[in-house]
Amino acid sequence: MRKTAFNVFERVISLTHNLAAALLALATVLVFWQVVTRFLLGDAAAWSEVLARGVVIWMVFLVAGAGFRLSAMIPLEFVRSVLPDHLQRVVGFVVMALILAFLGVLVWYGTAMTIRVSTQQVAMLGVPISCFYAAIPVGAALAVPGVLLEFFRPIDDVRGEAAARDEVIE
Amino acid sequence: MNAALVSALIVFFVLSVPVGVAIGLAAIVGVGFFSPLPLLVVPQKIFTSLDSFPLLAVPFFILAGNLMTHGGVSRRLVGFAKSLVGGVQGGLASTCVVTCMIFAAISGSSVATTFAIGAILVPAMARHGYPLPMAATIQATSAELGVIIPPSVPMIIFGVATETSVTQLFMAGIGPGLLVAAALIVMTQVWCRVKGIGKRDGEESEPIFASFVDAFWALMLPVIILGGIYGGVFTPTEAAAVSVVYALIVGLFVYREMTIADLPQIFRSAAVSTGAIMLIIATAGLFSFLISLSGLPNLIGGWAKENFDSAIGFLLFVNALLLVVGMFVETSAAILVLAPILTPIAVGFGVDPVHFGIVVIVNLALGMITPPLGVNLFAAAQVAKIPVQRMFGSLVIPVAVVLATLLLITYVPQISLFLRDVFT
Repeated sequence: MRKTAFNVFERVISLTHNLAAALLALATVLVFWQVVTRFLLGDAAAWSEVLARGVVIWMVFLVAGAGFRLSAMIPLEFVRSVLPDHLQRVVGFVVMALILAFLGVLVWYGTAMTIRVSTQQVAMLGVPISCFYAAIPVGAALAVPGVLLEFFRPIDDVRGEAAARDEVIE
Repeated sequence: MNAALVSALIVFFVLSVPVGVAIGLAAIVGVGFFSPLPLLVVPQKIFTSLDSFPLLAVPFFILAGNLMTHGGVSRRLVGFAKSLVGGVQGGLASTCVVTCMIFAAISGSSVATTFAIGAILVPAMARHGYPLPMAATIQATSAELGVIIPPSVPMIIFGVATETSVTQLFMAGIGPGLLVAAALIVMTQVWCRVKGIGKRDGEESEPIFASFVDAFWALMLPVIILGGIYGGVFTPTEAAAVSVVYALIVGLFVYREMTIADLPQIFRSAAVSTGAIMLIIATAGLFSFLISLSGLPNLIGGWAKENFDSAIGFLLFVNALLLVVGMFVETSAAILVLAPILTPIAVGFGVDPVHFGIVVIVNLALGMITPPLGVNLFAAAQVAKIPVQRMFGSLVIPVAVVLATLLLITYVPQISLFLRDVFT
């Protein structure tokens, strides 16, 4: 049961991670397109800049889950690392609870903020700015499985052949 | 509220909550319990901190750096640098400095530089009889150039936080970058001679012309990026996107060390690095907003005016403050929180904001090699596969050298500003 849940979590994280990577590629294309249009047409497409900002914001929040899952969010571990093992585990639990609280605030108030700005339009694109704001609550909610996995199934334990493959790249 | 913000932040840091989350939580505690503001301000400020076109350069420069590393660029740059300075005793150590200097003009981050160059040169130095801690230390110190020489992620962040021109900061970084590099080359040469290390470093060196041809396409990238930005052809953000496309072309079709199948993993790993930094930028923006709301900048400004009668005294205070802050706080976060407070005061003392930005960045770059939290140290220790503590002993010399160059850069503004003044 627990194992199934974790596997579903891994799928969610892997999906958001891939989506974020695709958005990063899309943002590159958009800004590159801006340069090309300026050189070819003498006039940069203004909408591409605005859209690229929104795309990167979505990327940042969608990839948060993978960042937590891979323990890549830059913690300062010099105090924690000198603690004995069982205390490290306790601190790890506290940290997990704190991160979940942070994500909770982002989901709750991010949703409220998204609803509140739904009447404002994004300049040049003609869509409500809440399309961009929604990245915060959606990304924060989808990051929850990553935080749980980081604590309950640390990446070091699953660094089998899959992670070895990644490390060649990193 | 300030006391609550800072103490909450320290508690979260000590617990090892990830930096971005720790700053965000401290801000939430501040908003929720010590201010009349609604918590809606949390997502709002997080959003507006990220919604900026100059900041888009951050993911692109990270991505371009990743592509360059996997596309065979770093290896060729090492070969080229080795043919330039590698022929003498201690040549490998100096090669490390020169490679990092060139790589810095491609990459905007010092950690990326450490991994990319260190993976090649730390083992090479070890083979040539350099003690591992010394090799790792030289690598960590040289990689600092990654943020001093443009393009530079911290410069973009400083520019965004203080509304200073990123292009001008990019121009002002060159002089100080070359100065630090020169100082480090002298340091490695003297160090190796005193210790009698690296006597056979020159053996594997290639002829200059051959290695230049080999590295040509890699060496063109800084020319395109910096030339394009300085020449006003494109903004730093556009230059970053162009460098991604260029890196793709070079890696896939010119050097052919990368295939289309490698790309998803490179994009995935760049996305994660970007996400971690951008989350810090987002929450530090919120934190900085609360600090400015509390009136602390004015208090500090008044205090500085009373206690320092000249720019020299104030800058010395800034040097000392950032040295301590840099030991414990992540660079982007330190810039986002402190730069908006300190820059107006510096300008009040007659310091050029662009020069001040360079001082802050060189100062915080020093923080990347000062324990306990020096990101380059961790990266270099990881590359050398030694515990980070073993590097502390050999760190004294490079830290002293960089500190000396920092003082020069602080008190001789022309080092930073001469290029900008020529171009503008």
